[in-house]
Amino acid sequence: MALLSVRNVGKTFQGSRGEIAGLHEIDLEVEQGELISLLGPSGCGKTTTLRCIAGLESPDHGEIELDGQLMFARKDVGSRRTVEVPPERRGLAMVFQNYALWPHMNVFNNVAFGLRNGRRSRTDIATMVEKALRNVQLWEHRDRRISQLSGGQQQRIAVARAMAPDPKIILFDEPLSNMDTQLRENMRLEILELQERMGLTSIWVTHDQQEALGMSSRIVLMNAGRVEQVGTPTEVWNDPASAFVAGFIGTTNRIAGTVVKDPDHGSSGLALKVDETTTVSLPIGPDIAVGEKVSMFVRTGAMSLVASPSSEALNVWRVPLEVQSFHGDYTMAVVRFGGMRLTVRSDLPIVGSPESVYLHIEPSSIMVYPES
Amino acid sequence: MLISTLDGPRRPVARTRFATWISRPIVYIPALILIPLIILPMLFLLYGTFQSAPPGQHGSWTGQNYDVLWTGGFLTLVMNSLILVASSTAIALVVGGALALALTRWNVPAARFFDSVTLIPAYIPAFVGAIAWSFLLSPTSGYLNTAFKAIGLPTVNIYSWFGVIGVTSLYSIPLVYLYLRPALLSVDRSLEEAGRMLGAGQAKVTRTILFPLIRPAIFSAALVVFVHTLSEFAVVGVLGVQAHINVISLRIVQLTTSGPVDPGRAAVLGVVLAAVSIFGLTVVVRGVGKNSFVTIGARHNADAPSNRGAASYLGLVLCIVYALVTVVLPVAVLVIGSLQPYLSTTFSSGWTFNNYVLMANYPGALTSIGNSLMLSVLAAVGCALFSLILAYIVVRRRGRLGAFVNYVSSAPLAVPHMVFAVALIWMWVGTPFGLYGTKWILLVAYIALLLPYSMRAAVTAFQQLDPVLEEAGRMSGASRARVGLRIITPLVLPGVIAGGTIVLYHAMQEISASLILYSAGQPVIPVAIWGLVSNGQYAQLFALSVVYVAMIFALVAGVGWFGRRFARL
Repeated sequence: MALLSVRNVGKTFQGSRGEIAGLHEIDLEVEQGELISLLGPSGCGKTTTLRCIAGLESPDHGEIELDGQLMFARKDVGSRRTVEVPPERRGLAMVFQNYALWPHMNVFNNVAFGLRNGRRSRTDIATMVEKALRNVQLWEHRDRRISQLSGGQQQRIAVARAMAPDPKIILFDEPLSNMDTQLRENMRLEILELQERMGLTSIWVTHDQQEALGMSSRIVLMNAGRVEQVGTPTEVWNDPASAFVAGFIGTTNRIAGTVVKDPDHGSSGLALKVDETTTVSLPIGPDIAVGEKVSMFVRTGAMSLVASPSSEALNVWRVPLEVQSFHGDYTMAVVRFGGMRLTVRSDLPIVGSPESVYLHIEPSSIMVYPES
Repeated sequence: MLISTLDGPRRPVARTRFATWISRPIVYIPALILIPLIILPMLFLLYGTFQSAPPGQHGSWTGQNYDVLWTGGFLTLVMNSLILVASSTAIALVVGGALALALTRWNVPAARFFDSVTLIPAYIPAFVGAIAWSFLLSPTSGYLNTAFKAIGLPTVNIYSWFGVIGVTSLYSIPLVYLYLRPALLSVDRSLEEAGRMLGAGQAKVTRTILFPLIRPAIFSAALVVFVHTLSEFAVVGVLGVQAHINVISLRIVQLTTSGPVDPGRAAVLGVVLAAVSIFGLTVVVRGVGKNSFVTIGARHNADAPSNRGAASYLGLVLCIVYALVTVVLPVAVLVIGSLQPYLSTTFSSGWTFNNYVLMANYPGALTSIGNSLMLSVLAAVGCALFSLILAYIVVRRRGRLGAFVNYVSSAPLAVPHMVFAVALIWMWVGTPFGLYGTKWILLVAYIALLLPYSMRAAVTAFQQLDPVLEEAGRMSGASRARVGLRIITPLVLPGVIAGGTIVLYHAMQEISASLILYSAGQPVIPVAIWGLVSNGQYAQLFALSVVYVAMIFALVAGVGWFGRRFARL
């Protein structure tokens, strides 16, 4: 049975700019030992979902069950029969975006705070605090004041504080957003290592897909209050369930057009008519019909630029090269195609500054979705 | 700075749903206490205007009391009040503005020192300053006048409009300074520099760029001084009576403490005064908008050390004269007078400590010292605790309850103290449990009247407390009570203590309500001093005044030191 089960949770609220926003029918399951990421653009509802799980906010309706016990249940907004367990009794812990360490307590007391519930002896508390701080290599700093620590150290204290009472799940609310890139990557690896070593279960909110892809057992993609897809990083990368996911994960180009019969007899028999002169052979698979308006997505790295084409390949065009910029491991190029600009990431350097190159798009790397 | 507009860290409404963690009725109790504390007295005041007999006696409803509005020289009272208020405000604005300008822009030597000196007059009660000045410039035997005569200068009569307006303005200057200094500091220098680059001289830049930029602060300062001087009566009482100057506020005190006591008509005058006051303060809060509340500490531009020009020395002279006139001379004359067995401008009478002995033996003097100390400390602690809870409601629990608490707890700022005292008389005289007739009614008056000051500090403290720290506490498993005790309270305590300090010295200086409400045999220091002035007992008067001012300074310094120990975050 899943450790955490979120069922049909919904909530409407007024966003910070006065707009009406909402969560719609959020369903989620988290198994023991997983690291689940809630990933999506700003305003998609991922933080609200996390806070509902934490008990810091109250959904309009739905159920939240943790380890077999009901934390929240409500049929609809006006209903009086509501189960709502306050956050301090849910057995969860949270790491906040700005760490939320208490400035008037030293490191030791910050971590010990959650352990001091009147039922633990002082020695027990001291042992648990030491264990938590040693896990993040900050035991030597236990007498320091918070203001004397660096950002990375503060974040580790926040993690130690969350871990100390042995919570069932740790909730992370964009904990690395306030850091510079180098520190962020180091912290990511540290927390991941901690997660695996201690067998933690975590829910991680982020808008950074690199983070989500690199850390998660499963990713929950959210957009405008809805869950768009739940899957492992590989699934989400290779098999985006919707146009949103395809456009959000990785760097993709989006091309809109109409489905036509494939003049080149490509594998699926269908092609995308982009404009009068350009059609793209489509792969087998997508459930589309001739005449339908669709969007195709292709990753920047899934296309290639060659100086001269091989004779047999499908989907090869000669295109004007507008911009190229060298990035060491790869080169980014912008080409004109079908009346629009495509960004292509090429692993091979482009020799010289040719006016045009040959663009090749392998049909199997194309993802197609109906225009909604 | 007056009433906190609720400009806290902006969070979407959804978040604050969590913040109502005291959703139990317990939160309503402190809010409800505001009703008998502040609202009911004002209602009783209104009731009193329609009563034919004094409170506690059986009377009938009547509109007769309102005849005070068109008889007995009411118009003269109004005119005098207006003259006093308008001129004091104008003078305070000019001098206070000049001081603020000097100490922020003109690179005056020892500017930091003078900056702290400027606020010292706030700790000296205006009426004590008036008394001191009456000894300096009394027409025949004033210390300064004697010196003037010796050098051949004309003497100055302090018992005149000049004296009344002068002293009132002097002790209003700190208020203006408190508003204009942060406003001037927060103006980006580049705005003035742009003007200079385009050819405008410094004077033109100050006039056409700087002043318009701080117009909201000037406006706020003007109105605060306006309201403050409207309720001022003690200076007029000390210096104006001989010159037949009477103002509305003094009349109210007279109608309740001397001669044929007429609390009904006093109530009418009080309602008029309060109405004008409330109107003035509403204009400040509404009309000037959110921009008026310039926060102290916002963007201090690095003072580009300009060359010491004429302006620097002009500023220095201004600061020195200001310090002399408001602090040095008055305190000096009081100390000197307290050490002389009898007034002697030639210092021929020798020196003695006997006056202090006389004061200690004077009936009521020592009691007044004890009462002032106890009531002020209790008022400070009471206001601090009360505002701790109320400020939490205002900042965290917005909506109607928060707005109600915010407005009601700020309202007393608009009510002149003697008016509130009259209201309390109407409310408590004749009630079974004797609050009136004991010294505890003074405590009620102090807490009600001074609550806005501690609320302002407490609300600011809460606004600076990120709600996420409370959320982190709850996520760590602490109960609401523990979060309140271990997280919220320690973090807002410095601000709350600062608010308590303000209440402390305001309570020590409070004379208007105290004079009306004190019961025989249980005076506070200002009341005792007033009595000594009226009876012409100068020996004890000097001694008590010196002890009084010394106490205020000691208390403020003491609490300040204590409060700093908390601020080591």
